[in-house]
Amino acid sequence: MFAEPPQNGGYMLAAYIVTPVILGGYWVRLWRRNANLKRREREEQLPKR
Amino acid sequence: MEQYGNADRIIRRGLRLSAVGLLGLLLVYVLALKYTPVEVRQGVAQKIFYLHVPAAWSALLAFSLVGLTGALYLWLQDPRLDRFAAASAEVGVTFSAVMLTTGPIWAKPIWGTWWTWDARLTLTLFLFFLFVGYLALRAALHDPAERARFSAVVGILGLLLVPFIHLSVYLFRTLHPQPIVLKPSAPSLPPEMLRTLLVSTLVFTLLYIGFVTARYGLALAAERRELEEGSDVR
Repeated sequence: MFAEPPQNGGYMLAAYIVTPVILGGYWVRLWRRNANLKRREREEQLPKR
Repeated sequence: MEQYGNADRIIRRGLRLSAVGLLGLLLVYVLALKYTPVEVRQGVAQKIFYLHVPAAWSALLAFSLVGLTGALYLWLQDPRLDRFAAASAEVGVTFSAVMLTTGPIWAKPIWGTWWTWDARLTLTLFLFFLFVGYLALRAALHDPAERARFSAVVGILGLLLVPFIHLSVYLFRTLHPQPIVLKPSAPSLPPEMLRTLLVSTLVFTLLYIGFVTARYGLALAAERRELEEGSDVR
């Protein structure tokens, strides 16, 4: 006779939400750093023209 | 100066590659939830394995490469090695954050506790703190040569911890399970689980490469800006 697996899907769900939040959050951070860098470069070039 | 011209292209390539990696995570979710069987003793919580283990792999890969490139920097004094080490350390801390959050979430239903101070968990936490310290050290030092030299030494110290973490489950009494894939004998996993784990490991490795590429390009772009500001003053 086989035992029923324990009901613990909530823990799995939490881990499956946290992981893309951290990794996606880091991607957004890198993207924003790049956008800020470009914006500052553009602003610095404006008065020279 | 010519190398700095590539910075924007490197950043774009890194961001695209990591975006593909993030989409690959969806494939991992589908495989883990639809393709792999539910483990009888652990239930669906066992599926955290497909995120926790690849995150640990990427974090340890990142920190190992920080130490190796740090050692090479001390030998060759090439600033590209220092730039790569800094990028890899930051990305390693990110993957450690995934490892250190998914681990306790998995531990709670299986071990009955979020955390236990056993050898592997404690050493992993120390490694995380060591590389947070590494990033703080880099932020505090302004002379590029001094920053590269000091942080290379810290990176090498971090590298020394990596084999201890891998072997800690053999060396000490621990709750953490022993390796089931990276071990001398054949992997002891059903084929569906092994395939899903391999796909997930590939996706996490792709994410590592994408993040490090983008972060490396950002460091290059920041250096370009500093150089341009310096030449404006002169």
